[in-house]
Amino acid sequence: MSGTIEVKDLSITVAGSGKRVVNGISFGLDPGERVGIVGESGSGKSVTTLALLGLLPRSLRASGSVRVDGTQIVGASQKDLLKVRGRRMAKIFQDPSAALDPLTRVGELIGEPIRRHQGLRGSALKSAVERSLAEVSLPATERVARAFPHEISGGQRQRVAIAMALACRPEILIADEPATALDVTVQAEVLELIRRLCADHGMGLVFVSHDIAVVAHTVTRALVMQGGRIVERGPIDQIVHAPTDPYTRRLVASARALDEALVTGRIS
Amino acid sequence: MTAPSLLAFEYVGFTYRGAADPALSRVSFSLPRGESLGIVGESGSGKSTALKLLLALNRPTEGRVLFNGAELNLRDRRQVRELRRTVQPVFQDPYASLDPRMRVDKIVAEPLVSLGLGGTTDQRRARVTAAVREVGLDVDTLARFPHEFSGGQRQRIAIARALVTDPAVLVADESVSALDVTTRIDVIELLARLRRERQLSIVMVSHDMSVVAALCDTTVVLKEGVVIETGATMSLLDDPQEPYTQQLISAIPRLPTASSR
Repeated sequence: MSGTIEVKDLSITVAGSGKRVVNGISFGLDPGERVGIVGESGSGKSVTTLALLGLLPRSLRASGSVRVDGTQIVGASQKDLLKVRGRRMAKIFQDPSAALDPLTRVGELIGEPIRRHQGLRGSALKSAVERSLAEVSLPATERVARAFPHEISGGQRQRVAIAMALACRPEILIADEPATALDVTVQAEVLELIRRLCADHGMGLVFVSHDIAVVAHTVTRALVMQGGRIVERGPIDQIVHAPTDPYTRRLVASARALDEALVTGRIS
Repeated sequence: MTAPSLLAFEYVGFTYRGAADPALSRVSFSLPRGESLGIVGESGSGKSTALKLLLALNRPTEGRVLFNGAELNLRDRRQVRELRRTVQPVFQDPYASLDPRMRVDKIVAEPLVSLGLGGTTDQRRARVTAAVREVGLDVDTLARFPHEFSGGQRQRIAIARALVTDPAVLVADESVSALDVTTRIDVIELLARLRRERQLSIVMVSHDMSVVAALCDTTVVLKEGVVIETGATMSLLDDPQEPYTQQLISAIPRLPTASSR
């Protein structure tokens, strides 16, 4: 089976203090499925995505099991991790400016993974980069390809980061707050792009956000995390319309209150 | 005759030194006493520049900023001092805006100390205590340091610091955007209560329309330094006239309602 994630009893502890930031969580992702992880600060949602990719910093230790297409990620060697990252699974981060090397031009940023994984050179590489730019709805022009990250807008930088993540045609995309740092109009476009790319390529998605409204429009199933535990899980419709856990209820009620303020002019 | 607006912009323009294009041009609005104003825009709209001009941190390169009906002159120390007392800022990031080496009592007292207000040490202490109580924090907060508090509590401390001079206006720069949604509601409720109880004006600079809707009577929509639309907040939300405002409102992610399933 390709494009599956199976997390079993994953715990993440702070080395030294032994403090648990993720506490025995289990969940899975089927091929082509879109799953959301909703939680507020300190819920453990971001470190969970790092653990999926074997990207935890040294100060954090994972235990339990994370299998991506059967390959064990917890405790895997760098060599095994490199086989999984990029080809099977890629990640986009919240802050695209931090994810892009400021001294590398956009064309090279996108071209590097294509050259490395697909072995393209010269004009074949150039046209592959142009196709990548077009796919994320960036103008496939010399001006964009030659620009440095700081010369393009925040929304365009996130599109470049998405193009880089997609360069090796991964089966699973991990997106950690991919639109949170963007302006609201740009945010809507980037989310639409992510949804379209997942549909076009049958790509699985693990979508992490604090914003339950954004998650609701992006995934079919979701987990709600609080304090390192999964407090509720289920189809997104059920979580949004009939939450059972007290914390999920509070989260949904807060989001509803903000929506209602747009109509009533009051927070009640 | 009506009382002059507390704060107003008259055809204000501002160009940063060395910049080719102005960050703001011909921006006008006014803030009547006791009312609240939302300044809404995306990055590059000039909303933070407008905020710096309101706080007298910069001087407009065109037009005038009026304070109590008089043109704001940054060389007039008496006037600037009065503005500093009357118009208090609350910034976006409560982790960055509170000095980590200061205890809360010192942080909250700081505006009184730097403006030479509040009388004797005991009188100041009483005002600090009252401000901390008013934002819903315990008095034992005062002896602790910022890192001991959550984001929402820190933002309350920042609001207490702003209230200690008994201001007429709070200028809030995305003051709730960095907070978790459940905490955000609490802080919005706190600001709404302060508005009501103190007849406090709030100038909310934000990209978040729902926060502005909950707190502000009037809204100014900025884009690339120009006012796109101004109006009563609720009518602007119900019936936006400009395509950009419509786009801004329709892009707000909302929870699906039961009927739209």
